[in-house]
Amino acid sequence: MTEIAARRLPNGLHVAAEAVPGARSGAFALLVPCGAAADPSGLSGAAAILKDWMLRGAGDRDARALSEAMDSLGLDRGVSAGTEAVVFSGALLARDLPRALALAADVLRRPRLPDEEFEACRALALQAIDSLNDDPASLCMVETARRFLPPPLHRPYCGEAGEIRAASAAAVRDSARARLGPAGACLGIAGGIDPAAAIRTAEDLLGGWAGGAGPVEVDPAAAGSGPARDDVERPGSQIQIGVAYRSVPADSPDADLARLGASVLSGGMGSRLFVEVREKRGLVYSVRASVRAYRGLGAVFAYAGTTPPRAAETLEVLLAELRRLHDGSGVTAEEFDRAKVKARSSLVMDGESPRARAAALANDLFLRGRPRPLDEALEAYARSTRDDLQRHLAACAPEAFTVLTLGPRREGA
Amino acid sequence: MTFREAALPNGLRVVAETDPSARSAAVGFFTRTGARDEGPGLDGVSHFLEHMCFKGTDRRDAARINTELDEMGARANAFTSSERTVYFAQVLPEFLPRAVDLLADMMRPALRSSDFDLEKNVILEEIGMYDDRPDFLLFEAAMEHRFAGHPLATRVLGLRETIGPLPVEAMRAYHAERYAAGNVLLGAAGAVDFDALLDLARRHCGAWSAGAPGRRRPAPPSLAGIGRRDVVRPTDRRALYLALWDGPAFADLAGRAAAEVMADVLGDEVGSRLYWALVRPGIAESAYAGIDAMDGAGILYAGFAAPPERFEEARAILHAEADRLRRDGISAEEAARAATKRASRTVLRGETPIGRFHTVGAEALEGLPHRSIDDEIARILGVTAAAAAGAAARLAEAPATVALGPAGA
Repeated sequence: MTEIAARRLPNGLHVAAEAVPGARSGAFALLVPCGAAADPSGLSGAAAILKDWMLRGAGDRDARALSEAMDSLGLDRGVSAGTEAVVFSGALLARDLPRALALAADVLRRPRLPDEEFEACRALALQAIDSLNDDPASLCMVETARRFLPPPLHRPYCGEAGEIRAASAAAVRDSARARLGPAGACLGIAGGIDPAAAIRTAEDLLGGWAGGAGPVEVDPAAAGSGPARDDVERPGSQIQIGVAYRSVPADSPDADLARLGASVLSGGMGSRLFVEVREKRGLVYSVRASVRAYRGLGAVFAYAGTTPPRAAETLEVLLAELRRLHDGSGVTAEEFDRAKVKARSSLVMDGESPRARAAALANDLFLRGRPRPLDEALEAYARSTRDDLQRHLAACAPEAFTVLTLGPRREGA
Repeated sequence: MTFREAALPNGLRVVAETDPSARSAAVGFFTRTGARDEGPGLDGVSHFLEHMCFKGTDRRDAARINTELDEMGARANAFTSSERTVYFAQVLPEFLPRAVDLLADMMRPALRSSDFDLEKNVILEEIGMYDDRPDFLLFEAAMEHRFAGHPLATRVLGLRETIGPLPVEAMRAYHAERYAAGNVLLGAAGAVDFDALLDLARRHCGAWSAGAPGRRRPAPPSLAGIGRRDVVRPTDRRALYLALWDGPAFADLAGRAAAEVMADVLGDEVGSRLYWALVRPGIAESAYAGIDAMDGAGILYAGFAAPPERFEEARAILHAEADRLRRDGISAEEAARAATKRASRTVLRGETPIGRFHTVGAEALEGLPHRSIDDEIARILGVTAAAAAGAAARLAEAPATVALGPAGA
């Protein structure tokens, strides 16, 4: 039985802490629901700029002093700015976790966001867009999401280059101060720790934090209302193919079943996509599908990368497999058992890593409103039956796909 | 944690580091063969063979292999480098015997022609995939440039020109020679019982033919005169740069520790000299430095990714920082911070069985004495500022460099 404690502070911050037996490290993930989706209109990219800017000094420390303080603790840290949230996470020896949390609290509560650092952060945000362009598989998924997800979730996490160029430090700073607050924020802590003590530490450091805008409002019904098919021409060796369709949200009773379904599709080398697209036909090196969970919305995203002469066939086989999963022909007992073993394995293995558990806790709080102990998740999977899965798959049959291809013009296409 | 090792009569070595608090186990085979061992016209055969080991044995076809891995809920993978080919699976402890059975069987693949011809397409797709990934191409181009004429210049994936016409007979011969028992190590970490593992090794690998193929270790070409290579890719958006100096070889433990700390001071992702000089002011999106310690050779590298119009500026700053480090040394505080960060990451990586598996196995494969996590932390924290500064003497030589990106600045 894992020891887990959780509390929602009066200021809105939700904290969960879990002991990981035998762990020497302590990890945290502090999630603020203010990603690219929360960027003000005309300021798309504010979150992307903030990702670097927020570490350029906090409280009494300038950028260098803050960096050195973190380095001196041996804190392995990073900020990720996604569509829904900005997450500041870190890991280090467990005994130093309280000091790391104190630094993290300073960053979130008292970021300096200095003028003299703004241009550098703007430059980095623009370069990140170029970097995405040089990673066509990732770019493909960003563009697929843009056409499928309901606004404002459809916005790319990296922002828009034009708006980043036009942004002023004052506007980005105002936007940051408005949303860096405890409203809707989630903190996960895990490792060689005492969960109750960790919660107390979080309360001491962050109980006085105020403000924040909370998560953005999204209309899940608007998913999939963009163009059903788009082919974007782009030079390169390969054609990237992205497909998206609706699934169930993370707090649905069927969320585990959706994951099992994705596992049947793409959970290993015996999975349907791997076998049909890669093994049997040699069409690709890379093909995969997974369930993505957002607040109030779930979706399946699939990807394949192939050479232009094979693109039409690859897309055809990929869509056929996606349809087949949901067409009522069901899953075999062997497929179901494999999906369950995979789920159990993943849960246990991720449970050994404090970093993974801290991130999972923050995510649970954000998407489900409560932490999900590992043992509870294991039991839920153990209880699910093949009938449950087949019922869910039939109920979730895609009415439509959003398809995006990215790559060189194909002859006859 | 406890570590034990043994060898079978045919030369196969078995090692395991057991962790009583682990809830999973990582197990796999390390073969001492890679791109550097391939010989003329066989570029990419090691990596292609790695793929073929998943395509079927006398007892199992590809579908059965894939299904079995999934039935065990295994996180399985394999990789090929210049020097080694590793097949591994992370499983719940109850599946360990089955995982060893399967992996050992896979190490003796059937190499059927029909599977070979079909998988060749997948390899060519993989080559194509990396064509669109300049960050990967950069390292490959740099190794080819620095080690031109030397086995370490061989591309791991091979070339379309070598993979296309490769006959299956050539792969069979390569496998028979390079996968002999004396060239292989069975490693495990986490929730593992060594005696049970050794028993499994005897049962599944005892009949493997003995043999210990050597490895050519020609001296690497001198860095002097290699200079710069430009790879022009008109549609890339960023300009990438990588400089290679000589670094410590894998067996040089003290040298590796000092060079790792020095490289972190120079180019760790955050808080390093290159970070402050290039990333913080927004000149380069990323800047980094590190080492790659190999069998009988090593590299110390530093590089960045920048917008094309800032490439020259970034390049000049990178070399100025390298020169400054070499000339003025490192403060005790700076060295201590770098060492603390590295020690911390060692703990983090070592907390999972798969993290320990890769470290323990690679070190054992090269015949180095086992080091526990505590040994490793002591080794890193024992690096003095003077030792790290001493490692910077390597920066005095003119490096081999590669610039990759759109033409012009």
